[in-house]
Amino acid sequence: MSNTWGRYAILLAPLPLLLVLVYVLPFLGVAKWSFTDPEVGLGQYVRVFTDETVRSVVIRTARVCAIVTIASVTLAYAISYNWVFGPPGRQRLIEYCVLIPFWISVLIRAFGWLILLRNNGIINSALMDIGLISRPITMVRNEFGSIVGMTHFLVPFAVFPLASAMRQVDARVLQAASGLGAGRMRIFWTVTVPMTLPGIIGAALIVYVFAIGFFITPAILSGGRSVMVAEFIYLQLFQTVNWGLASALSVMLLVVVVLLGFVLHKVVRLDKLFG
Amino acid sequence: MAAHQHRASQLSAVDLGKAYGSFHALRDLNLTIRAGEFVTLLGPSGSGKTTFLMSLAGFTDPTSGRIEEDGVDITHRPADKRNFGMVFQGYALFPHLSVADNVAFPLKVRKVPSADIAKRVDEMVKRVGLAGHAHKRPDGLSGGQQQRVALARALVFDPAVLLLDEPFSALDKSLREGLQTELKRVHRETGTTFVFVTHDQSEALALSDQIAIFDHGRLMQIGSPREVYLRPSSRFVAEFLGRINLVPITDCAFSTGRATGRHGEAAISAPIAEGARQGHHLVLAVRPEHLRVGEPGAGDNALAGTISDKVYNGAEMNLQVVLPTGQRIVLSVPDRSEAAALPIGSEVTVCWPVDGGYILADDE
Repeated sequence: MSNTWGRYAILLAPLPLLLVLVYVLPFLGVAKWSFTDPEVGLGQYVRVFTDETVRSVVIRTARVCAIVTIASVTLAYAISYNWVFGPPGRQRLIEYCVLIPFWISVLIRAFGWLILLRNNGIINSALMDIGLISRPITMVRNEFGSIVGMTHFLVPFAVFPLASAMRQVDARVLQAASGLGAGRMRIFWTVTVPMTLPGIIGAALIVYVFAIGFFITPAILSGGRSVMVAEFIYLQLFQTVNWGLASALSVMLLVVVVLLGFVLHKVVRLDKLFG
Repeated sequence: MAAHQHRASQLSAVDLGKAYGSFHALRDLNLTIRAGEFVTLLGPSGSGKTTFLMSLAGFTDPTSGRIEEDGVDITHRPADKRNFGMVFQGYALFPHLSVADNVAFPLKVRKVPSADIAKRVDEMVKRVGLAGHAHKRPDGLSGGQQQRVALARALVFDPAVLLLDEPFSALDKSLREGLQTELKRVHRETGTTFVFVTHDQSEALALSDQIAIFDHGRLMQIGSPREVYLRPSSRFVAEFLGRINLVPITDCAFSTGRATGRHGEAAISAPIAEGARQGHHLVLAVRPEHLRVGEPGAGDNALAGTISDKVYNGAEMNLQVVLPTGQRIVLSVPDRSEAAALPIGSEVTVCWPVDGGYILADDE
């Protein structure tokens, strides 16, 4: 018994070791800066909670992430529903559409949205050509651009837990609802949605946690006009060289992510979420 | 208990068929289920019985023919517009709702006022013996209790027809017998048309007013339990409904409703099944419990043979007798009877009244 454990421990050791070396130790350094730079004390944390700029960045981040979460989970629910309950042809198509984005770099996807959404981009040109609008609609270099790009990136991450929750729904239960006189809409709202609720909560928490730390997509698509926490930390580190504030914000970000992870763990069983 | 009788529907299948490509799950079915009857669809798996039930429920779209409810064509009416109650195999309860909410579901769908819902749910939950469990979720109940919830949910809106798809298949034997009795009582009290699918012949015989026996997508026979058990129209039905001896008969002479032929040296007379004709391969079908050992009475059929094996099953003793032709027949006699005490190797005469057997066309 102890022998088997020992063998497993040796086989598993490289991963935690790597994590400690490249994540935990450096982050302890970052945490140290948050209490020592520029002077020893809690000054940087006081700034995090009182500074107007920081507060507006935090509120914007919370808002953008909430919108992105709602949009991603809603879209992902529709996709998963068709993936699980749709005809076989549609199921194949959805599989490809969900998987292909994983193979494309986040940078390329952000630039792709830039090409579509910018003022002289494909969407605005097309709308002007057919005469629906006379001036371009600003869809990028603002919060809207970030939301579109982030939602696009995060939808597949919500699809997997939702599809998994839907696969656990017994088709006979849906048939029973129909046999008892319920129409399609009623079955959806009173049976399918409540039965997949753990999947919905799980998907929402996963998307929110991912969204909070987003950097490249909002940086490119908002063009610096709708700065979120991750980008703000980057600016503090490399442009205003305020390492103490950047570190304090990083620590706070980590605390929020860990808290959300804890809630996720309490609400849904992770192995069921992806099972 | 206030047994309120309510509307029950008559269901008819007219030339009904369901094909999946070249596979015919159901062919040319013509069958009428009278209002208020308890009809069992019996057959092995893949016989078409479940396909027919699912067509009645509206979950399977027939490819030919039609289904009528009281003469009205409902073949393509969606399941949720049929107003039939249904009990599913595995119950299919809503796992996220309590017992009371499960039972209330069809009433809420029908927009029944909430005071009425509470009253009817309460009444129905009591009626199926789950009074103390109304607040529980299905996963906190035993199999038998879940079964009762499924029944309550299917009956609470007074459906004109109740469809049951192998409702007892997941339960153990003693529980199953208790629920069978209860189901009969509920049928009497409600007066609803019950259509019950099973592959268990003893369940079918115990419960039904009429049994419809299916094989390979075809209706083989329909009749009362006694009719199909004692007067099977085919070898398949005869064998499916329980143990039976099938003894080849030659040189058959037919008279009205009766025939006399030979097995080896012995002359045998019996009533004849519809479809059994001169020139066919014919078999005598006789159930083990209709045979006895001893002196034949006037007009009885008799076959002489040797006891080759004895099997005790508690209630009775089964004797296997080998005839001079090599044919083996089985008869069951009461335990502790004289016949049961006979040793293996004894020479015996097996006899039975003429009406105890039945001559069939050998369709296999």
